[in-house]
Amino acid sequence: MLKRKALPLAILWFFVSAHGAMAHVAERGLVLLLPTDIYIRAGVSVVGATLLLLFFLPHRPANATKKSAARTDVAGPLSLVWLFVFFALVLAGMLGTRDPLSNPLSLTVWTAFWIILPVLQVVFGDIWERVNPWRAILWLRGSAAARLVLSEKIGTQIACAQFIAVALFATVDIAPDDPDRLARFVLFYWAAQVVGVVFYGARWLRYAEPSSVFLRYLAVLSPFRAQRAEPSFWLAIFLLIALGVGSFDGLNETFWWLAQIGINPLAFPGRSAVVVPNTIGLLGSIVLLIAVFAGTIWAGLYLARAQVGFARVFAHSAIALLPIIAGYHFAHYLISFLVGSQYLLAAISDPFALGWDLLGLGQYYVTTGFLNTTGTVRAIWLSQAGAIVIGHVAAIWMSHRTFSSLLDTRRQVVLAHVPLGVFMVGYTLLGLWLLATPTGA
Amino acid sequence: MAKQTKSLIKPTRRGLLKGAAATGAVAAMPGFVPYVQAQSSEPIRIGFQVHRTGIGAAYGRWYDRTTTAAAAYINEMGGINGRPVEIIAEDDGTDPKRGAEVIEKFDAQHKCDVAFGTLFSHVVIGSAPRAGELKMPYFVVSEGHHVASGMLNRYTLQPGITDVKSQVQAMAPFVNDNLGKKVTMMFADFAFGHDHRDNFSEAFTRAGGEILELIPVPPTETSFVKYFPKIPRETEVLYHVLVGPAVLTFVKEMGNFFGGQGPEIFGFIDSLEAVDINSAGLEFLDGSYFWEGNPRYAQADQSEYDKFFREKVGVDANGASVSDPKDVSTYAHMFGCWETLHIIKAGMEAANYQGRSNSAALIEAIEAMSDMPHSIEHPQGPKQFNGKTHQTFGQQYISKVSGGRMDVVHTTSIEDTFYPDEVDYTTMSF
Repeated sequence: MLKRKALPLAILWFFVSAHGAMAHVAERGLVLLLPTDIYIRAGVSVVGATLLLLFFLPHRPANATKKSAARTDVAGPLSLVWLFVFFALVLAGMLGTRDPLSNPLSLTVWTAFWIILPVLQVVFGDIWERVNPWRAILWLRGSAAARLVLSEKIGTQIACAQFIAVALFATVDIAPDDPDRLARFVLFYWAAQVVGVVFYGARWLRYAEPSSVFLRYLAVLSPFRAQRAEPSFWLAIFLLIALGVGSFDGLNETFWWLAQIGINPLAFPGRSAVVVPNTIGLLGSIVLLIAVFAGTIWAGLYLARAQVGFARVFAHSAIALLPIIAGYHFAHYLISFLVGSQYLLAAISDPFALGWDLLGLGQYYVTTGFLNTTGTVRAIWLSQAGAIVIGHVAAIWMSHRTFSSLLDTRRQVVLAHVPLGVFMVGYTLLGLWLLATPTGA
Repeated sequence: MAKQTKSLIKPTRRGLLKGAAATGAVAAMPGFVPYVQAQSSEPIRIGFQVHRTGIGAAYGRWYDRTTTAAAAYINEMGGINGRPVEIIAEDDGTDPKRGAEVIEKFDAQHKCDVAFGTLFSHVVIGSAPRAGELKMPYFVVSEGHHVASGMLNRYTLQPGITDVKSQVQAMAPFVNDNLGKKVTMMFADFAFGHDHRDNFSEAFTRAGGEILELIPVPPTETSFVKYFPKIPRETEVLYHVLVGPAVLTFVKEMGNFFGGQGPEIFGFIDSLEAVDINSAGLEFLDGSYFWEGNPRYAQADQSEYDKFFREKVGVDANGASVSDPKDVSTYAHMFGCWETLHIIKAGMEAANYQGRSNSAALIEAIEAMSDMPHSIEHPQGPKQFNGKTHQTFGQQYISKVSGGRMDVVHTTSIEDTFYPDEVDYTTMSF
């Protein structure tokens, strides 16, 4: 049987990215010719040096989290607009063009929501809280007391489970970007959260609806809108799940992973062939990450002979993962963004596929030419690597403050921080390696 | 950039759908000319199975662009049998299971007349059985030998692009006559490389040449220095067929190894399709030879048809997008979509196609085709279609890299690409 085309034929390496929505382009051919080993060494050194520098800081007990709580805005009639937008998009998914790179729903979910919004949250604060499609339900529901009380613990456990379910759809399902399939999924997901909101009120969105939880915590990093982080054991698990999903999302495309699951990286057979191994890989990554992270916390406390409870340190330290999650997100999706945003622009210019040209684009061709030159590929790579490094430097600084707030002496802080710090240096290495290693799926 | 090309009024596919729908409405108005002779003004619905996501997406983007342009042109010229063409694109994710589902959607949901446009072989092989069961004519643009090998069915045809077996064997006489008689092959050690190894070895030996060494390279390899010493000193031609992200590294390391003193080098453009040959590391390709399905760079003797085709799909004389000179197209392959759509049109007109009940007549009409002259409909060159094997045959091009472009040094005859029939689909019932 001849399968000449059953393989990636060009150096332009396109693969189904883990969000599953869009051809994710990685110009690995040119990347392989860059001196990435030097860049990686430099990046890891910066993170390692940050860790060492912090060890010499005088001990100043600090609050690990920002305290300026932002009041939750009360939903108003404007929220109906966003509900309307949501239904218009679902309708577009069911009735609009079948091309996922032109359909407004596919582009909104996988480019605007999944890729762009998290970055906006990090910069501008919690936008999602104002525009999500459940706010209107809250408003319609009025101020009636919740019929049931959702505890933070149970709520966050539900968020963990729902996050994993969504991640499986995005990374493992064979066609998550198909407009019709996506419309059904999104509608089902929306309805499920409506049930939660009706019974539990705003607490459902605060604790149990994973996109609201995830995006609210990314907004904690925003310099513009300070939000309160509320460390808890299950929130820590939630953040570790988020990081595990993000990391596996890069790993599953590498030659290394494909070799582990017996797939020829030059003849990727399609997502339907890797549903089982990638499900196991995704869940395994989450479990492994939780175990390693918990191990570093435990080891740190053991070294420092600290009297603080493990769960409390575990919960507080996980907040420091937020900048790593943000850095991974930026790095992993940068190229998808550069391509997807062009399609999004075209769709905005002609939202109903009626031949409109609201933005005056003229004859508009999407390009991936910037993946074809060394200069642009290097600039993209260094931007990605920079995001990873900055994320880890920030994480090391935040975790240092966490330990400073929870432990009594500088010696304890330093000793307790060593294992977690080493873990973060190692995670920098992993992140940069994922950017540099050949990919094939 | 977009502004510069504004004068090129080429509808997007979405615009096209709208246009087609509007045409249907207008056709009902008295005095409207182009489509009124048709018994039905319902559009001809062509299900476009496109690799929008997955590993085929680089090709899919250009297949989509070519298909959009071809359908717009066909509609400009009055459609098919007086009916407008509507392209219904469904992403198959470059996945065979999804491919079969897409065929089912074309049949049940979109009521398509035909399915069209698939490139990657594993998706073709996964989809063709379903198309056969649903009795939906399925026109692939894949280059795979799977159609002519007889493994598919009567409903699957490849009339608009030649297959790999014919391409590879047609290279042998040129290599033997012009480059050298002692060849060493370096190939990716899986089905893709094996096709080249087997087909070229056989044809080259038949032409009187000698294969000195076969050097398989594992697909996961990212450095090749340890393989170069295996190339025998007396090698006159190195035939390489490696693909994947490490190809640039391969070329660079090969350049370092030979230092300009090595054998002649021959490869298939598939290794570098959609890649700028002026990319860093590729300067070592200067002076080497490539098979091209269709010359990426406009040649001095460029045909008016090639010129017209480039203009319609928005590709410049260097094979790149008119809106971004770094956005290199998949020029060696995408003409296949243009030609196939025109063959569907010709077939439907010959069969006086009215609807799915005429599917068998459509296939018989295409099976009856043979010579397809070089024309606007066939800008890559003349073709000869073999109705028995459902496979087209055509000229192949060999180009030399020089001064940052590729120039054709040899055009094979169609006869160079022939091989004995391996199947007669016309004997199978519908």
